[in-house]
Amino acid sequence: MSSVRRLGPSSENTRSAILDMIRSSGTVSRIELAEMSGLTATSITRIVKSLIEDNLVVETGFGDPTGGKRRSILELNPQARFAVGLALDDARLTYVVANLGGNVVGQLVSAGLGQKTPSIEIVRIAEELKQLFTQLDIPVSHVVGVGLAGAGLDLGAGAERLSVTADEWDSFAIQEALESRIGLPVVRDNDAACAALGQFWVGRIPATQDFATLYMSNGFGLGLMVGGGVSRGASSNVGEIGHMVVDINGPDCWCGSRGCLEAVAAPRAIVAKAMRNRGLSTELDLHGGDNKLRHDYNAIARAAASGEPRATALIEQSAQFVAAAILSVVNVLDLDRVYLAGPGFADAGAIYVRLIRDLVSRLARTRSVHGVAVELSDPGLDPAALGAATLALQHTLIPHKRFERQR
Amino acid sequence: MSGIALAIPASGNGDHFLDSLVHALADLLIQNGMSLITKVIADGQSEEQLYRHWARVGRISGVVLLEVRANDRRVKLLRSLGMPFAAVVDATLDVDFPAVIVDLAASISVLRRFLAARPHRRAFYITRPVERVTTLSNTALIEAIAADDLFDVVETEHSVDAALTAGSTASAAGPVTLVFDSDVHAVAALAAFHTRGISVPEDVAIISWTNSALCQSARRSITALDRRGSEIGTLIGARIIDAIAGDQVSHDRAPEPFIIVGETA
Repeated sequence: MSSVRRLGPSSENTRSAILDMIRSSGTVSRIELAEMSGLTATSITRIVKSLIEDNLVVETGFGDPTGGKRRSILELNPQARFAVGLALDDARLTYVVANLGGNVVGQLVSAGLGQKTPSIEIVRIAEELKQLFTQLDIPVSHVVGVGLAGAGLDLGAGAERLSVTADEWDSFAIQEALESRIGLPVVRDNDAACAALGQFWVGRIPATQDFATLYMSNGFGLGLMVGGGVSRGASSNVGEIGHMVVDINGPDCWCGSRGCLEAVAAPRAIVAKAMRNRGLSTELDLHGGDNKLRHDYNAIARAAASGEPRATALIEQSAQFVAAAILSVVNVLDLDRVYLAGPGFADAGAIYVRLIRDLVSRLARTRSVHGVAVELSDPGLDPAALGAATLALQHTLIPHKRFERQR
Repeated sequence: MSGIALAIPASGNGDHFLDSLVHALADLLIQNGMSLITKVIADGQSEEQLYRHWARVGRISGVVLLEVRANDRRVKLLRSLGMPFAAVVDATLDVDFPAVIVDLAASISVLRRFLAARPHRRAFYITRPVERVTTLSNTALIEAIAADDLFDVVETEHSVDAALTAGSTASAAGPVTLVFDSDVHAVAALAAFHTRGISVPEDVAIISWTNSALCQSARRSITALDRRGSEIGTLIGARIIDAIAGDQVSHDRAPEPFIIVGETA
């Protein structure tokens, strides 16, 4: 690809492209921007002037004098704007506030969605956002938007909603509802795609390095980063790995298929198996109901992580199915890097990594050509929330390369 | 929803001990109908400004303090602001406020006993520069190590490359044990030594001062110190909830740290 990027006609796109060039360059002069963009020096001067007026860009000093007029150096002003990423999970809501440079400046963790309906929760979320800005001392005028990492929510209120795509939330226009309440742009994507974006952002992974992030909460999702962007497919539904069939004679899945990964390996399936073992379920204080699903699953995962043999067997059984699914994905897409992220991997992630790594290294079609790295994502971050914040930053500040869902 | 607030030093970024503490603290607060707000702060001055801001804007029911020192200004400030607080403190400190007491010397003893039971070799503690360390326990740890002959302390910039260089230099003269302050660096070191054909643990033993899922999921599980971050997080959560309810004196002691023996030492 040529280093000269021809810019489109829209002035807002031009402005955002120049802002992105300044961001990715670290420090840059106006002349270099003109060379990189193919725009005239006059246009660059005008655009940079407006960026400086908006405080998005600051002049930081002077380049090496070359005998003529000294060139001032431009750089992004990271504290000029902020974005919020909100990971919607049924165990906890995580709000991450990131600045323009992509660094986390603060977080709020509050009660998960549990079994509450969207109309109630949307009021709380709007209120918590307001509190968050006040307590972090960030003027709302400096907040460019809110990114939501959702989907894959099991509200588990009844037999109809055994799925991780609970209708009540899926059909609820959360984006519009929240936008109208808080008066800020809201963007939304699934948690796996956000987690991949968050991993890309914090992992300083080169755009040339494609990878997949397997996200596990109550179900599974697969976020695919290709060429530095999230892969989307025909209807922005890439990554429904939870409905990859891993056992053609397996149990019926709510989606209409049978033997789906989710039906045999997700927390609900693991808890159901554990409940059949009276000794184990008593020892671990399992409840078995959907409203205690995460509590039950975490108890099993923690027991497995500390070596309890029955719990370990249950997690390993799940991990074998997950490994088979990942092997297929690796074979189909020729991946050499897979990350595991999400609350489902918090306690027993090491067991999943071990079994996936073992299967892929033994059986990947490309094993004689290249290895496949299988790693846990950084345990200290909520990559879905951070990715959602990144999504909001990109959506509003660099619309020329929007990553969000197509409509 | 009532909120508990916590200021996190920017240097604590990437410290998975702190992360596990914060995660468990948030869990306990959520179970009790509360939320947790955290803000990253650059220095002590901005931390004090932040507490004043929180007192002014309201809706913060209490503050959790990390790394309290003797005669800590923050204690006086929070009292004058009338904000309930609970602190994580080292066992060497006398406290007259709600606290979870962490015995750092116990962590060092655990490591000493572990190393003593192994064939003797030189040990290096590879850490970020002391003057930059402000996260819980590390400062005190380095002070303790400095008064001890357990390790040679190697200070490096806090980056994977710098830690790897320090580790390679230390191991050039024969078999050594490398103790990394960061689990991320321990994992990177394992991969780097593997690539160079250096045997772990025969030529270089690797121990992580911080346990995390990364240590357990490394290509070979990394021997690591579990300093009980999760348990400390749960305990400090209970302390701050009680403090808000009026208990201004109770202390808890953090449970004993222990070594998770992996394949690298």
